[in-house]
Amino acid sequence: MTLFVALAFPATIAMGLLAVDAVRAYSQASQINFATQAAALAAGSQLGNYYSQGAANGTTAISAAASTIANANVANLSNVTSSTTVTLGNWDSVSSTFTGLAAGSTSPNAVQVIGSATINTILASSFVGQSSLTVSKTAVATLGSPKTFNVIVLNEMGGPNINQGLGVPGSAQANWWTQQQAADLAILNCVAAAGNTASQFGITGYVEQAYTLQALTALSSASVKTTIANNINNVGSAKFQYCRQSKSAQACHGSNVAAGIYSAISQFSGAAYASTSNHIVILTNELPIYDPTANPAQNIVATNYSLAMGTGVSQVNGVWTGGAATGICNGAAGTTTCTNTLLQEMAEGQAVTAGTAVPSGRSGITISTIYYSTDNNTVSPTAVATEIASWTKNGGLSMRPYSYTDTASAGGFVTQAAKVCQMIGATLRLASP
Amino acid sequence: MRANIGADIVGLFEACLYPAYRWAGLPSLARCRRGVAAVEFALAITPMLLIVFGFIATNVMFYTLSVMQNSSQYGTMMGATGQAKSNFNGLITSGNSSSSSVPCSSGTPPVPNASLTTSMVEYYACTGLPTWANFTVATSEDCSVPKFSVTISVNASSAALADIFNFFTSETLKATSVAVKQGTCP
Repeated sequence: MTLFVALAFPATIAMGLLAVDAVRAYSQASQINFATQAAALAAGSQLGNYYSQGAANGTTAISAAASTIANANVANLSNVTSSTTVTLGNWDSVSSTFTGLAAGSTSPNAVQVIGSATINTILASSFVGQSSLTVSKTAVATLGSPKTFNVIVLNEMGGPNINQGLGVPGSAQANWWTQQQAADLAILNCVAAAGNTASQFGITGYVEQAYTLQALTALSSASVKTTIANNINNVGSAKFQYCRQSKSAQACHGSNVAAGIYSAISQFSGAAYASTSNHIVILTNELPIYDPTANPAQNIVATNYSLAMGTGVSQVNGVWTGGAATGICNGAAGTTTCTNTLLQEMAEGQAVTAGTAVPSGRSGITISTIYYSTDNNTVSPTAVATEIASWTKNGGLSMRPYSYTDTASAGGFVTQAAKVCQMIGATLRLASP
Repeated sequence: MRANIGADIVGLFEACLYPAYRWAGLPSLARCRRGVAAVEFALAITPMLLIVFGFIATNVMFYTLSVMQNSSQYGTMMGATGQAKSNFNGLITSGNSSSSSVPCSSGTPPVPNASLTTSMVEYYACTGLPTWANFTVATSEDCSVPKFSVTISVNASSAALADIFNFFTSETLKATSVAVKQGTCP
């Protein structure tokens, strides 16, 4: 009897501890599973970086996002060491399979994260030769069906160079306008292709003022889309023609993107947009420019412009003063105190305003930027790109095509415009293998 | 079983302890075999109970931790996706990005916190938690990443339920879940 007890007692204790260890390991494995899924969603939310920063830098950013979230989820787990492996690729929803990005492929739509963790077991498990337990969980985040979303494209109407306007048809500048038209159409097609007839599309042009080229319109049918496409192609709208009438049309000078953003905010301010997914896509070839050689008040055809130069943009030196613009960059005749720098600060301020959830409960607006030219001679292109990228808000993308004339490659202007739309319009979900 | 133990104790007294005391002294007691099982049981029961309840308490504690993890994950996803736009202090904004020590319940036995509403992240974090302990919730939104996190805490001893020997009185169980913030932040 004594011998039996002497043998049974330690065995009983060991079994009990083993049970405790198993429960602990199960609990930690469950958390590691969540950590992997959360990491996949984090990586998926950064997928746009692959397109905006390039394959190498984008992949680094995506991996970093996954690692940050995974580590945060296992930080409280004791005796656990973990790691994540991130793979970009494509998800086939029909076969429910993930395929890593093949060499030469440039369009990942999914991210696979493998979360591995070693759970060091407690003493009892060591008795049965199990000093540690390796757990491996896999999760795939993929871009799902497009959602209902609204997009206002801000078109830089000032032309590649100051005072050139868009150029008369057939001129060198006309090629630039052609590319911007193509980008507008690419985004229009993207929104329409999403298949959600409640999604809305609009275009606002800006020089030193902003004006609505195409009011936000639900793409409820093919004919609506065709009408808008015709407008973009200068068939049906005089406004699209305005800056093409003559190089001497001095109203088409400068670049005040703040006024454009302000206009977009105003267009999204209605109750109908309080809980919708709202986006601004800025197409620009330069930093904000104030052109003192012309007096905008004297050169603008009022019927074609809906906003005065300084309307709503009174942030000076980074300090939001609120209310109407006063005395500076307000477009009034004789104004001489406006500068490029002030217009740039206005742009930064308006971007913050757009991205902020105001009023209470309203979703902030996502801002994406496409900087498509390096022809600004006063600031280094890298600095220009950095400043323009700083306007992005709420996960919007910052793209930098090589040149507006690059239309064919994946990094081209039009291609990237379509990609921006595709990314902001997509929903992110965990794939179900 | 109880009757046998009682008989053993009575037998031990009548057959061994009393004669040893009255007539024979300790050598007699040493030779007496009556009540041996009772003595052995008395010696063994304390560590046995310690071990049994220790196992129960530890397993309940890990079960509780597992439930806490599920609840914190639920709350985190509700906050991260923007389905719950408020924390216990009000609408989540840049000036109100976190909450701390929000009780899911209070008192003994625990009574659910009636102040929690469906717009609050804490409401979902408190959903499904065991009813035998008082849990607290902390939420945090960090837009620099951006990420949203929920931490549920409870005294380990009360979570263990059967911690009659107070093994875990000074310990705190924590379950933290973090997810990337989607959409607008804050």
